[in-house]
Amino acid sequence: MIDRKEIEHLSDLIKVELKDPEKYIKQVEQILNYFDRLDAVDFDSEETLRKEVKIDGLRDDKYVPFQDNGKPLIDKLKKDPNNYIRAPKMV
Amino acid sequence: MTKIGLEIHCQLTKLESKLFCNCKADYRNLPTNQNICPVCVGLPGSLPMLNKKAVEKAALISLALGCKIPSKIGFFRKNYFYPDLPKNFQITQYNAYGDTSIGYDGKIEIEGKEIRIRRIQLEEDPGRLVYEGSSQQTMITLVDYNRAGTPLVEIVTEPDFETPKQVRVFLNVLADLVENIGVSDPYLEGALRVDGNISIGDGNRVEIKNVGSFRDIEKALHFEITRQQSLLDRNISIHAETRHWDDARKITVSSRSKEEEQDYRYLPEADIPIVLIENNTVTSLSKQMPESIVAKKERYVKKYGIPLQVANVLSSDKFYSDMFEKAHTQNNAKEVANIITTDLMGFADTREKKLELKVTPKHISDLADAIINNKLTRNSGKTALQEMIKTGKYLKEIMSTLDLGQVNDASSIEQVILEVFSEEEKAVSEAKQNPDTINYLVGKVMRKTKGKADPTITLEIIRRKLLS
Amino acid sequence: MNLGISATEFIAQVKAGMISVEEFLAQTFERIKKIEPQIHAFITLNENVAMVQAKDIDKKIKAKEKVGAFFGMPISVKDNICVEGLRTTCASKMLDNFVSPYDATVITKLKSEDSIIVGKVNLDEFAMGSTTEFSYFGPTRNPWNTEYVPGGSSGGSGASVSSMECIISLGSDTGGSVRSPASFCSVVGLKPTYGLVSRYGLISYSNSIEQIGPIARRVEDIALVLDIISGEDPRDNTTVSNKTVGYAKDLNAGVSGKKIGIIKQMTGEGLDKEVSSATNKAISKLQSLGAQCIEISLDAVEHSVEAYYTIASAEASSNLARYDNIRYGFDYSNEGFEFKAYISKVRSNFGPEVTRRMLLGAFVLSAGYYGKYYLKAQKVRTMIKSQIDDAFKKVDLLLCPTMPILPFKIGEKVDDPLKLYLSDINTITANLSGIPAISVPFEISNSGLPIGIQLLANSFEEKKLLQGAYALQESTKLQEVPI
Repeated sequence: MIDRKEIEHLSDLIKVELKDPEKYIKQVEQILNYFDRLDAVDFDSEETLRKEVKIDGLRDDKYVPFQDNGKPLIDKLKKDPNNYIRAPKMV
Repeated sequence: MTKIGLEIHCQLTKLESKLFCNCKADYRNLPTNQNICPVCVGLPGSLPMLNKKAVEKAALISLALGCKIPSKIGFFRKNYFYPDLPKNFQITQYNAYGDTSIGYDGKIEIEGKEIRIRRIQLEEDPGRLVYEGSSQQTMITLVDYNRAGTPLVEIVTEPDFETPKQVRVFLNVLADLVENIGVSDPYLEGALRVDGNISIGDGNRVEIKNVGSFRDIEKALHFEITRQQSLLDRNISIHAETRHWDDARKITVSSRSKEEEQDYRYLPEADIPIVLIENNTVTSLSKQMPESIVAKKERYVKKYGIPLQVANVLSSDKFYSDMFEKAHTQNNAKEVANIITTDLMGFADTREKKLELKVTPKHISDLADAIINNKLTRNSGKTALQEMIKTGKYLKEIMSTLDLGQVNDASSIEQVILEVFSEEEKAVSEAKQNPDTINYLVGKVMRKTKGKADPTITLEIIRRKLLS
Repeated sequence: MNLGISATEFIAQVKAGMISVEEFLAQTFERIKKIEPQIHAFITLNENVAMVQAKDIDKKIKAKEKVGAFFGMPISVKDNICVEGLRTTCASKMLDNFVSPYDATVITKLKSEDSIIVGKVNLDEFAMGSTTEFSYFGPTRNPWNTEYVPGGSSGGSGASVSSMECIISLGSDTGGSVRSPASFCSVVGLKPTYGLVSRYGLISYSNSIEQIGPIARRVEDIALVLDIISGEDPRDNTTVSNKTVGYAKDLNAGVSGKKIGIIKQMTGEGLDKEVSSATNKAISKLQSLGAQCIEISLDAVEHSVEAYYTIASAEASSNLARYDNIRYGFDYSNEGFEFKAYISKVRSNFGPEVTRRMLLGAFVLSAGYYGKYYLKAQKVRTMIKSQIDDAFKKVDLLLCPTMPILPFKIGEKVDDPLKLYLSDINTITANLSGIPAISVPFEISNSGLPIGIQLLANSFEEKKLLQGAYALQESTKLQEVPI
């Protein structure tokens, strides 16, 4: 059951301030009810469709610096004069 | 009863590149945010490319800790928001839906006590945060992503420790072990980090995080035991929580528990295929596995007759045991071990000093040979070693410039003894009464010969003279 | 100059010196400027760079220097695929001014064959949607009737190709996002086998099921593009080496003697009447060409919508976590803010569909629900794949209409997410099972709206799929786009 408290919990998990929580309560509830159709699935298999690779198929351990016309990547990001990324305070 | 469990993060510092991209694994001493690429800063559209060697090194740690290795490993996303995590999730491993982390169900014996290893997982290290600003109002967080994505192995133990001391011993053994098998340099700042959890009696489990060094985990555990015990004594129940180690005040501080109530919403990382760990991979890794520290110690004792105490010290230090391996012969092994453990280790005991050390296996080998062939006394050997450390010169040169050759012809020693006897009449008569004081005379001879006189011959002649 | 020629025709005519690339591109941009106010397919135009490239290629051709296989062909790129130096927005405020510092692997490949990117095209925000209405930059309109949706999420791709603003477009298909606009705009759209085309540089929405796919006016053009963009990529560990060489060869092999399975669950109840009759017509056409059509039942698809949206939402909630406006994003200082307050505030700029899916994703992954939703949804995937494998033991291809309904009016369903989800029923099967599927334009309804037919093949059987699609294409002659 999706109520105000649950939608607030979910919005906290995804870190999105909801402007109109009521609208989402209704829609999320409706869709989740539809998802409950999965309860009827009765299929027993450990198989997955994921690709499997042998260890030799993985990337070799080599250092190759990222090059973008000789410019470091940090120049393309939000940074301060000392090349740090500034994040909000963590109190 | 006290139960302590550990979560140890060990960086795979011996790799060239990060876990999922080609940036440098060694992020230390690089200018801020210059070791980054679209993958490790999680730019839109980038995908992880798993490092083969990282998987192998993690498997090596698992084998060394007696873990089982599954036939398939998988990666998961641990979802939480934090500025040091560029994707706001960490790629790690997780065993909730079958065993898919690189190692599980291991054990290691520490001083007769078995410590069980719950699991070993391969994951990415976050970036580094620097806090700036004096007050809460002006505080900002600066992020350097040079470290983001470097390969990390997390080792989780069962709560099998009963005392902080056991923890310390275990961590020392673990540090030696990861160094010995060539996966990590435990002396690098931040290469080995440890979190603990502890419960007393029937009390709840308390997690301790943010412990910087190995020394501090022991302090933090001691603090927690005292704190929890005093609560129990007052019949106050201990609640499950996470506490942070306050390095400045050397105490643990409760983190606001609501913030720690994390729901990580683990999700299989579909960008990384399932990796098959075939039997032949495990076999060949086992073959690559260097001799364990315990096996090495036993070999030193059995094969060379090195005393257990010496073998213990030598085998657990990768740098010096490597030096021993290169310097020794069957004949001089005992002497080589002796020189390294009693003299050299005292001179160079830190990582920096070891790196700067001018003494090579050849220096040690020459020195040991000279001593066992009576060309040099142990005493002069010490002097020569000091000179080697200072100048890097070889023994031959040192012996001629410092005149250190052992005097072992009886007539010249007798000459010196006669001089000493005439100068020390009182001591001579005393020694005739009480043979225990004979060493005083031997010492005088040694001083006159600057320590070069063969001590055995010297003693023999003095005894004979005293009897006559 | 006819801007409506196929890729094959374009290459032949440029090679033969019949048209100059510069002139073709100049006219292309002229058309774009003329009709964009009605269609709104593009988010960003790349005119200056494109015109320089066009002149360059003309010079090379004149000097008889080596020129890439696409000879300056104008293409558009969905704005969730990274092109170095161009804004890559995902039609989201969150990436409004994000300029990609690198090329997606498919872009590197297309550039090296001398294709010219005319611009980045519209989509539902982060590719979540099937109408292109959920774009921060406003909806794209259907060139067949601008009151109607062009399908989605690659609506900009479908509309730009359909209205001759370019010859080819790259879209991405997570649950039908290439095939739905192909069907609604009367063009061809292919979703390749999962792992055939590199996703490096495709901004992830649901990374375990999505693929980049081409949209073109002709099946043979699709084959041409697939030849270039497919293949194993060290930058995408999920790619495989099962590439067939020469998808464009033997396209006219025909369907004589081929067995085609008509998917029972996707051709029966719930279909629009005209869609249903077009499907029957397509079946008879194929039969008249010598194909044998039999009914195939895939009862596992009864659960495909809930399985698809469970997986897609779960993965979306994780994939979109990185957009916190700290490393890149729009201008909004974080000075003075606390971390969680800041990111929750900036992330409220996600549109309603993206927000809905992230909420759903957080729910289905949260502690205690994983087994009920996500694991079950994965079982549905395995179940569908196993039934599909059984089906392909009996038949060469599967068939159904791409969309169960005709294009509908902009705004008509925008507030009814579940209804929109349910219209994906015919396309999501290919995504859940990883198999390739193509939408071929087949008929125009009485009201003048396009109807596409979908063919599906087993994994890595794109060649067979394209041959079937070509036969279907050649069996009908459609009217020209009215715009």
